[in-house]
Amino acid sequence: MDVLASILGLIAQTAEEVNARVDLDTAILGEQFYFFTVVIMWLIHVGFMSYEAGVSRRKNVMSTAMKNILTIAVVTPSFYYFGWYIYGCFEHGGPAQGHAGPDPEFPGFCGATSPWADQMGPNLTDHIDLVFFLAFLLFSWTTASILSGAIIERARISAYLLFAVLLGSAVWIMDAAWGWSAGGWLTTKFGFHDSIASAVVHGVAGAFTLGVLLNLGPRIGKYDRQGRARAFRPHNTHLTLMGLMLIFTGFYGFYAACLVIQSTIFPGWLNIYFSPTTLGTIAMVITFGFAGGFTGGWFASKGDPFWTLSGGLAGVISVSAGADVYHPSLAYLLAASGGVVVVYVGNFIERKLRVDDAVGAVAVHGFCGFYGVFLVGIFAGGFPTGVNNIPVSFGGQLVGILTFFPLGFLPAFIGAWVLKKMNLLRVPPEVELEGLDLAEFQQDFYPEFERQPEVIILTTGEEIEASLILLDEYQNLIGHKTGTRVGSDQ
Amino acid sequence: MIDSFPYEAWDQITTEPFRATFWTFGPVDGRAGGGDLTGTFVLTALGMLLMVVAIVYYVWLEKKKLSAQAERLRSGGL
Repeated sequence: MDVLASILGLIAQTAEEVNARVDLDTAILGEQFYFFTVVIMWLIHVGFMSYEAGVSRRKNVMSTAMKNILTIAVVTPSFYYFGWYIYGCFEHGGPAQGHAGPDPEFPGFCGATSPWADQMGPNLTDHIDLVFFLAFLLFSWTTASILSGAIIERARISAYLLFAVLLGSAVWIMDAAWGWSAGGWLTTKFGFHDSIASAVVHGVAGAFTLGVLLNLGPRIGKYDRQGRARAFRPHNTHLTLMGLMLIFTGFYGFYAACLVIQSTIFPGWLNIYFSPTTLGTIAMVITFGFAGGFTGGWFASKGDPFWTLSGGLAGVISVSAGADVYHPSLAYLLAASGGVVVVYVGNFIERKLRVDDAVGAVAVHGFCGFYGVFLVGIFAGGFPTGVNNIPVSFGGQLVGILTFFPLGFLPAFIGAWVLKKMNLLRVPPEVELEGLDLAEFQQDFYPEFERQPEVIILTTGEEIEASLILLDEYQNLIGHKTGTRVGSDQ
Repeated sequence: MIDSFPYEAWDQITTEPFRATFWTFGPVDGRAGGGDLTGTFVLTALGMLLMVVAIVYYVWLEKKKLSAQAERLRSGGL
């Protein structure tokens, strides 16, 4: 009887009531979709933490992991209080007038992004804004975390947190407003196309990382007097590899969250510019991107585990910008090229530029991010982008690259220079040599295992503890003894 | 005031925008655009204040810890 009553009830509904129910179901479907992309994207941060903690030496394991944890503590509120507003209101370069949306197609979005807006609290009529915000928040954590691994073992946690706020809640979201939204000026004027954020997230974060690293300097002992690079081996390779695999898993959530879900409102999947694509298309590109990237990284590095895994990431980043339109075979080929190139770029940065990037972030994210946007200009030229259907062009992509690189690099370089002058960028060298964990947490996180001092073998064959020699060399390098200048501990 | 959920009006809440928002200090009286209530601004300001204080404290506390440890190590001969 209940079933019969339900059927009769349905028949009795007007078309208007049925439409209202379908619209509500559609909205809730979208709400669930973005919610689960957020859950999957958490794995990226589990991965970043595991990867970086594994790469670090055992004396720095917790201070390395703590950076990743506290990223969430600082980027979440800062992105809520001003980052989201930047995305909603800076599409035309500067802030929109008042709270009016700059784009007549979406007049309410700017006003919907302030922390006191109706859409940013519990709201029975809005099933999208909060989960959409959360998806972007997870992008912000990811962007900030790209910097995190590069500066391990000598940067202060607090310095990193300041950079995380700057990068995660201001810099990257500004470039997203300009070139990763339907109303952004790079999209509407130049047809800039970066569908899954090659440059918008990775390229800009890589440029930002370079700006910080140039001021931070290498870890003590990274380069000898002749400038030859020395490898610091990961204290836990398995943790490192597992971390990367978790990042890869989370990337599927990242890719999915970059789309607008198919619904009765949007009859067909759309990319971030509201151009049509499918979930299957981007899922194939990411999968073939990993396959090509692993292949390229393996061959270019002659089987080095670090570069094979990093090659996979480089491959995916190289094809992300065109993931909505690339054929899987094209993605495979382009990703393989990214996996090859990143090995040479990474080695060039380490050995020729003598920039100590502990995880290869500048090469993997920075170079390949911009490389991905560059490739779209060649291999997806002519595809219409955005609601205005501006065709993709090499020139438009170039404008995006020339806009994004300084946008990422300059704030980081200036910010790091200021912190360096204030002695707030780097830990004191004595602490660096002993390991950050004892200073930051007053405990050793492998209590059952004896701490082995690093040794140097003299030409006589004698083994001596390295820290005194390294400290002496470092003090010669910076021109004074540490702790002897007023207010200085570097 | 803290528990502002409109239990007495719950059965009347529909999908009308002016009754849709009900967060703490938020609108429950059917005023459109009620999200601009002073209470919401106060909460936002307090949240921002906590964020800024926390970031400053991270910097201060770490500087204190690192300086103390560096001094210990220097006095110990490193």
